[in-house]
Formats: sequence, structure tokens, C-alpha cells
Amino acid sequence: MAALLSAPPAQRRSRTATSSERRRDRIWVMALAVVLGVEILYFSIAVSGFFGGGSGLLSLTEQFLDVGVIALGEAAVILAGEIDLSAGTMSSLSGITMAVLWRQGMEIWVAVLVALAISGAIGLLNGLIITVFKVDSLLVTLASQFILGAVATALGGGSPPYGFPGSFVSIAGTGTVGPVPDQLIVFAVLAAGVAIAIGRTRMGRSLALIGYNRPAARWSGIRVDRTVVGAFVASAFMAGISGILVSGLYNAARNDIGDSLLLPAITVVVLGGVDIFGGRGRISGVIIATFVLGFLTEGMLVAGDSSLSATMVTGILLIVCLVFKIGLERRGGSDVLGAVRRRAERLRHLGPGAGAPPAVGDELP
Amino acid sequence: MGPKTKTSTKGDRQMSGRFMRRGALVRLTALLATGGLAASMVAAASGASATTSRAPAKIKVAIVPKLLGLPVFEANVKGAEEVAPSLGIALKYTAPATASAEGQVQIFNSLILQHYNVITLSADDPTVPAPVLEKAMKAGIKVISFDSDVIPAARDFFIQDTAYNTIAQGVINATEKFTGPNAQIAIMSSTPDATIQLAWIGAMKSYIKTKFPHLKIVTIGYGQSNQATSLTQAEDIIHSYPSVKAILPIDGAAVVGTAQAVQDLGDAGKIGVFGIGDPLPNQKYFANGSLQALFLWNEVNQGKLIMYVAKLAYENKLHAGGTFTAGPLGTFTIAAKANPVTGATRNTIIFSKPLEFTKANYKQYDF
Repeated sequence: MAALLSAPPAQRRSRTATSSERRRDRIWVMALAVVLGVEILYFSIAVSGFFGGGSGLLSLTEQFLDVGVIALGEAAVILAGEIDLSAGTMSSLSGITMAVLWRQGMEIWVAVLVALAISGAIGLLNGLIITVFKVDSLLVTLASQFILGAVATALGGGSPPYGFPGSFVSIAGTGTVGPVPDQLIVFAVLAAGVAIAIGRTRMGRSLALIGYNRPAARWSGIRVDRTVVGAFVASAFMAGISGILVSGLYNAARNDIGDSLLLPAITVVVLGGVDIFGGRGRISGVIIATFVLGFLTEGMLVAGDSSLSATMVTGILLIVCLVFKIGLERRGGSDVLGAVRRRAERLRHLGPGAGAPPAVGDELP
Repeated sequence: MGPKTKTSTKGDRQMSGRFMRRGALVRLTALLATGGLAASMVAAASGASATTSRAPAKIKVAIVPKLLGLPVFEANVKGAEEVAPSLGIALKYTAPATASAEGQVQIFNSLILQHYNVITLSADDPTVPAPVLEKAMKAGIKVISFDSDVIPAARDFFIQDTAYNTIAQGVINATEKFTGPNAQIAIMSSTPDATIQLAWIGAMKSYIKTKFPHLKIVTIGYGQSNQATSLTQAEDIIHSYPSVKAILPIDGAAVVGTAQAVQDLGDAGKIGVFGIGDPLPNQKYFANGSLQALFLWNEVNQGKLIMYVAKLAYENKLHAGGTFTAGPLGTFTIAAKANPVTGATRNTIIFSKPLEFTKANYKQYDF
């Protein structure tokens, strides 16, 4: 085992996702899309009140898009082989910060901008601690999760603000354009932005390469640390936006309003086909998974099932997905253990592996 | 498990063979995932048909406590289920698995889409569910809160457990009977910022001031809603204030901790314990004399009242300032405006005078 661990990683796996891996990722996304179609069709027919002439279906999305927004940012971090556990409390803190500034007399949209700027700054701090001091992101964000949660509680106090101006509640919360909820429009814009940034830009491709094989990424001239910090800024920023959206939707801020969004968001990322160890996955999958999971929960609730059974089915769905995906992911002769081992290797910061620097990004989605 | 180094052609051939098999596997996965989903959908569908096959003439009422499985709410639901059939109510008990305001919002939203007639709830948060409840009221659904209120604009009626002043008077009167009018007493609470405990302490202080000015509250201990902490705190009080004649625990854990402390230090009967809490967890302290009296409302009957109010609200028979009769439970008044003495806000129905549990009657109650 010792010999194995010290072997240069580049010998054991290819440097970028192979074409067949990318094909499997595409198939996964297509399968998700089919599942989503079947799901919507089924609930529309079988559950009265679900479809609601189309507008009912659209308004249901308000109940889960906050999870989707966090998932978009979290996907960037996970793609790079890291994780951000502070996204949930970040969302709470952003909502509370905005609300408290507004209560102090600040114009609400200015308060929103300040809250988002603070979110970005905290993401920067997370990223810097992780890259400069070489601490595992799991530990750093676990710690910052507690700090952010405590700050949010202290800021919000016993009676957090509620009853925001109507224009804010309408635009960020419950408003609609025709039958389409504002929240869906905001999500669509954010999703398109993230999908382009990750799928079509050099930085996005670097992110995936970093997650796939960090030494190779370093050798190919990618500024690994800078890119990873960027992912954490993006994650915190998206979490911040989600905190604003949730506060708008409920017309109230709450010290822990975003805390419960973290695990569903990670679920969505993994269900969407992003490898939990990084390197592979498509944002389109994450977007579709947001709706698959969201409509499943809402559909079951509208059908009259208890939230317990909805949660249970979510858990079962995730396990089924993971079991099958991991079964499929025996890439390059490695396996689940291999993936864990790679993570361990990365943490040990092995020296440069064998092999010439790969061509950057030309093989990634 | 060893490092694999292959020549490129051989490797590619092996890879493609493996991936062809995997291609089939992917398709199988997709099929199975869809199948699993379909199965859960069938389950969901059978649940749905069970709900819709109920007689349409019944009033559809949902009871949504803070979370599933808490004994106080289970007692409420037990009472509600007892009377629902006779009132023509189809009752649904649903709640989040954890005390989550967002979870409640999701449930309220689904109840609106299922065209419920009445939603009754104990709110996890006073403001977060307000928009969705206002939406429900706009859709013609009656919204009734109990135990923990939402902001008054987001509900039609609120059923308050008991008036702050009456429960405070009950506890103080019983204490004074035990200690006499010139005595030192202490209070055991949960945390310094617990809303309802603060309200009770305030009501007790103002009652003492007017009625028994020579009763003196020497200290307030905080047990953090934890039995072990409550026990230590109560022992500290007994050691530090030897002239204390009675301790008043006003939180479930504080009752157990205080009675245990009095028992352990051999002060049963010498130091009186008068508190607010359930009789069932404290039976042994009643039996051995280390607990004199507890005050609480009857939670099962409260569940029944929720159903009466739901039916009458659905029939538009309830009005601010008016009264109504809830079968054998008696006549109730609907407060027209806020009253800081009782704790009532607009359209509040105060459920009951507190019940007193003593050594004589504690065995009759199973909550």
C-alpha cells in the first residue's frame, strides 16, 4: 500500500476526463432530463393541484430554487475537488445582514449589494485560508460554518427584521412576470451564467482539470490556487444571493433561514452528476437535478404525503444514484477507494508527478 | 490495485471494451432510476387517492404543529382526532420532521394547493410563514394558530394556552398557602431569554406586588431546559439561601431538577415546590412529597377546542369580541384587542384556566 501511495499519480490515471467519461456524463444528464419529464407528466396527471394550468407548476419552483442557487456555486467548488460546508449559514448571514442594514435605515437595494459584497469577501477569506495555509476545505468551511451561523444569530437577535418594502418583496420574492415567478427568472440567469463560466471559459475548464488531477493542472501552468479561491468566492456569492431570495420570498429574515439548504444543495450537485471528488460533471445536470428533486418533494407534498416520506424518498433516490454512479465510475482502473486515495494524496501535496504537462482544457466539456 | 501502466494501443482496446459494457450499464441505471422513481410515484398516488376518496361534504382541516413527535403536540392531536369525526371534519396531521419554519412553509403551500378549508398551526417562527398564510387566507382558507402564534395579520384566530396572569396567580396562591405571607421564595426558569417564561415571571412579580407584598423572590435560577443543570442550580439555591421556603420551577426540566434536589437534600415537605409542567414525568416526586403542585392546561382538551374553533371559523360564526360554545368544553371569549395582562393579542381565544395537579389527583392524567 505504501508503494502504491507514493507512486506518481499521473501514471495511474489519465490527465483529463476521457471522451468516454464525457459521453457517460452526457448520458447521465439526458437520463435526468427524461426522469424530470416523466416526473412532471406523472404528477400533473395524478395529483390535482400540481399542474394548476401551468402557472401552478411554475409557482411551485419558488419553494426550491433557493437550493438550486446554492447548488450552482457549490458545484464549482465540488468540481475543483473541494467542498464548501459554509454555504448554508452564508445564506442565512447574507439575508440577516441585508435585513439589519435595512432596519438601520439603509436603502434596501444598497443593503442587498453590501450583503453580497460581504458574502464574496467571506468566500475570498475561505479560499485564501484553504490555499495559503493548505488546510482541507472540509475543515475550514466546517469551522466558518459555525462562525457565520453565530454572527448571523448575534446580528439578528431575538426578533429579526421582517416586513420589507413591497418593491423588494415583489422583485426578489413573490413577484411574477406573467405566470413566471421572478425567482425562476433570477435562477435562469444565474444558471446560464454559471453554465457558461464553467463549460465555456478557460477558467471553468481549469476548475475541472484541478479537480481531476491537481498536480497535472499545476504542471500545465494553471494558477491552481487562484482558481480554487475563485470557486469559493463564487460559492459564497451564490449563497449570498440565495439568502436574499429566501428573505424576499418569506418577507422576513431569520438567523438560520439558509442552514437547512446546504445538504439539499449538495444532494442536487451529486444527483446532477458532479463527481463528489471533483473533476467531472456538467452544470446542465445540476440545473436539471434542482428541478428533479424539487418537483419530487413538492409533488409528494401536494399529493398529501407527509414531509417525512418526501425526505425519505429523496434519501433513497440519492443512494440509488450514488450506488449506480460509483459503479460506473471505475475510471482508469481505479475505484471508490482509489478516489479516496487520490484525495489523500492531494492533501499530502506530493511532488510533481511523472509525465509531460498536458494540453490545457482541449478535452474538457 | 497496483499501478497500471499500459501501452497505449492495448490500453485503448481494453478501455473501449470496458466502456461498451458500461454503456449498457448506464442505460440500465437510467431505467432503474426511472423505475425506482415510478415506484415511489405509485406510492404517492395511492396516498393521494386515499385522501381524495373521503366524503366531499367534510370540512378539510389540517393540524400542523412545530414538528412531528413532540409529546405536547401529540396530546393536542389525540384530542383533535377524538372530536373531528363528530364535527364533520376530515383531519390531517402533518408537520416537518424537525422544527423548521421553511418546512412548515412548504407544507402550508401544499395544503393550499390541496384546497384545505382550515389550516391550524403552532408556528416555528412568527414571521417566516406569514406570506404563505396570507396567501392561504386570500384563497379563502381559515388560518388558526395555537400554542405559538404568528404575527396577527397572518391568521384569523389564535388559541392561547392559558392567560399569563391566571397561571401566575395559581402558582403564587398555592405557594402562599404553603409558606405564609412573609417568606423568601426562589424561581427556577429555563433560559434568561425564553419568551413565555419571562412573561410568567413578570406576571408573578406584579401579582405578588399587589397581593402578597411580603413574599420576596430572592433569586432566579436558570436550568437551560436541562434536567442535570436544573438539579445543580436548585441545589445551589438551597445551599446559598437557607431561608428559602419554596422554589417555583416554571419549565419542564426545571420541575424535575428542583424536585430531585429537594428530595436529595432531604428537604421534602420543608421546602415547597410549586411549578408549571406535566404531571406524568413527575409522579414519583408527588408520591414522595418533594413536589407539592403543578399547573398546566389540559393538552388533550386543547386539541378538541382547536377542532371546534376550526369548524366555527369555517362556518364564519366567530367574531372579534364575541363568544362561542365549544360543546362540553364550555363557552369561550374572543379578545377584540391586545391585552398585556393576559398576553392576548387581537382575535385571541384563551383556552383555559390552568389545571392544578397535586398529590390528590396526579394519577388521573396521562400527559
